Amino acid sequence: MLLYTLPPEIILNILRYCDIKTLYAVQLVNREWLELVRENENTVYRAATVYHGFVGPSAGLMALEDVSKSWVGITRAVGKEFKGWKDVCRRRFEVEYNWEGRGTTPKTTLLRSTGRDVHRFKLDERNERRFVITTHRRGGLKVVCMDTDTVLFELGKHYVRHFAHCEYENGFLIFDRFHPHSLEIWRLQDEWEGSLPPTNIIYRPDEIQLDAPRRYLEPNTSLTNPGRGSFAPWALFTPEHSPRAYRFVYPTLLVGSEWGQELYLFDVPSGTLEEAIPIPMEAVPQGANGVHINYVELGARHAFVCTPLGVLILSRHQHRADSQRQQNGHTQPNGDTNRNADAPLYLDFPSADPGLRIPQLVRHYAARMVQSFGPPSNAAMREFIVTAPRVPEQSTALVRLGEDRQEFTAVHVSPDGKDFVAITIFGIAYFVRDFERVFRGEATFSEIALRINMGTSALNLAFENDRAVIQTHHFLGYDVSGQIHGIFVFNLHTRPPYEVIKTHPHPSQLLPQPAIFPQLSANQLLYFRNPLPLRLVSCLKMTKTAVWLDWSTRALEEVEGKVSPLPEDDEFEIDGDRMREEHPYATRMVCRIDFAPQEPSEEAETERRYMHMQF
Amino acid sequence: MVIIRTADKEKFTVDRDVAECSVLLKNLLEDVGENEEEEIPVQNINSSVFRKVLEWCEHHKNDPRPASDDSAAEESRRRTTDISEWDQKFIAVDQEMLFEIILAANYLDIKPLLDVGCKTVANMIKGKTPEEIRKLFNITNDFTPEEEAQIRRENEWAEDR
Repeated sequence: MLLYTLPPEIILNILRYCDIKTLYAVQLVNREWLELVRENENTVYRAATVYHGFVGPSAGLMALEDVSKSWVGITRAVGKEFKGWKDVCRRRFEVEYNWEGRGTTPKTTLLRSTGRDVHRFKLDERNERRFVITTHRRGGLKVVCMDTDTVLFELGKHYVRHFAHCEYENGFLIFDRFHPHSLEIWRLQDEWEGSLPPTNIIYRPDEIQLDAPRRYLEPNTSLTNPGRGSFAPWALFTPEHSPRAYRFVYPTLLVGSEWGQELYLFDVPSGTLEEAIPIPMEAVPQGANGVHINYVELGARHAFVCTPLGVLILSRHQHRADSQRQQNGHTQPNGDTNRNADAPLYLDFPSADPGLRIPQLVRHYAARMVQSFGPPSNAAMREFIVTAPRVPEQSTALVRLGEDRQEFTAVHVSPDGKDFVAITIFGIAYFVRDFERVFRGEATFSEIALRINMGTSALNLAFENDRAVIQTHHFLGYDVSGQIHGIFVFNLHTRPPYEVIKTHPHPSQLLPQPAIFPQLSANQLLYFRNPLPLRLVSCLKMTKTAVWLDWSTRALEEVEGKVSPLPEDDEFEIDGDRMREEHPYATRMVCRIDFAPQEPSEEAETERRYMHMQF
Repeated sequence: MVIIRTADKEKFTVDRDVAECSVLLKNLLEDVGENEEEEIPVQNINSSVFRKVLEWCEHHKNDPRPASDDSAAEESRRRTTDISEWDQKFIAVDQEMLFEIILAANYLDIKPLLDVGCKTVANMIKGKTPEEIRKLFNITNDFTPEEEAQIRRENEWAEDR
């Protein structure tokens, strides 16, 4: 009995369970199969986008124009909407390959209007927005169009303090100021009616902030014609204790207080303080009033605080849940399901392994990075394989708690609030899978954390869409040679479409794979490894199709071969205000490294075919 | 109990809730009401295949029935090509029987069984080359080399890199 005795609708049903490579093979079987796929191209490839998770879990219910909107990085790169579901598959597949370093060379662009001294920046890639918001070493704030590279809105340096941090999401912009030490919240003007913030806002802007658009708006922009990227005062959050670090994940702003006594959860749209969480006394070092806060991060159900000793992970809404319990005399059945009476209020990461008899010892799965011996696929990236030690007995790293010189510099949690990545100034990167199991008592950190010693100081981190980007720098005062530093893209491959990426036999399969993240691989971005400009990177971001960072024009021109590298300069001071502003490497503007498939030029296409033949 | 007669005239006495795994039989049973004497004919299915289908229904009679209009649930089912261990053993039959089961599940309107069958065939062809697929299903290649080259060009993006 032959397969074609099955009616076409059943064959179609079978094809809907197939990946894109199988669909490709199916079309080459014979004319009948080819026709079947062609006639039902949209049905079949739409199912394939679901199969591969190419556009998210709800892909099956999405209209094509919604996919175009949510992957605006792809459609913008070639100036075309998706033609159909096969086109979605093709371009999404190419993005994945580009991120893996197996496709075309990423395209690097500088946004020159962001100025010469970018300190922090945030992005909005959506069609109707398309801007980058920057703060600056010498003060001021700019909103720059990412397509035309023009300034849309600018607050002067006499208003926004120098080295201000900024946060942005969903139309709300937050930056910090002195006198009083507080957080200004501005909102995109076209998102609400009227010129004054609504009356229900409790933390209202003060006169200074309300007056700022009139007094400090740079003349090249104007509020009289509120265009794209224009912001207006919305709220002013002055917490009881001065803010130190803050992070905004819409709609909640997380603030760590200056002396590390408290965390605040502030609801930005309504301008109200939701909750103040005291740092647990047990976590505070003896003789101190609080913890030293290096960095804060907000997950779906947890707040993270980076300290010199580790990462504190606190349950959000813990006090609300507790007070409800006290009021009602019983636990809330429909309350926070991840927190029962026995669950700890907070966790310390890394923490002692209860399975070890010596309580000071910490244990994690260990892995290291080795340069891949596979063929290079583009000039701008070099592949690394993350591999476990060959000897199984060495597959875990045993470290004395507190003596590992932790000093965590950043932590980021996945949007679903389950996985996190944390880095330390001493070059350790931790990849932690489904950490809430530790809160529930189902696992210990020893079982779910992978520790990679990167060998150089890890300074900046971004973690989105199953992918992490880590920027490292060689340890100061040590010999640079032999230390591999730079910007590394880690592909975690915990979710589809990793199956399709890894069907090809890969050199990593010859080496032992690390536990927990067995498919983890890394790529170094080769254009960004000049030590001095690398040392100055102060902000690193990632979108679905690009890595963004502050970078110097000069350094980029050097790798492009337009100018010769600068000689080593002993006088070059890079610490804070002492930085020689006129140094070419100190000129920092926002730089985009774009992994979206570009329309291939004829030349690049020929080169790729040639590479293909060669290996 | 209901009585069902297959194409080769064999009679099966079946529990009502087992038979109702099939949307077709469920609708027919509603039509005949409580008259248990009446035989229900299934013209397109032979006894050997029907016995196999009944075995599946017997094992799955207590499964929650899929809501027919729940497209979100359907999409999430598509995401996974995993087949339960019992179903895997059940469906480990020769190709002819596999296709007969798929056709029967389609005719009787037993969606979960149809899915198991289709997933199984999909798993058979996954990762195979066109030549391997042809061999598997005894298909002859009727492309000219030029046509083949053209298809390869159009789908080059899906090749291994």
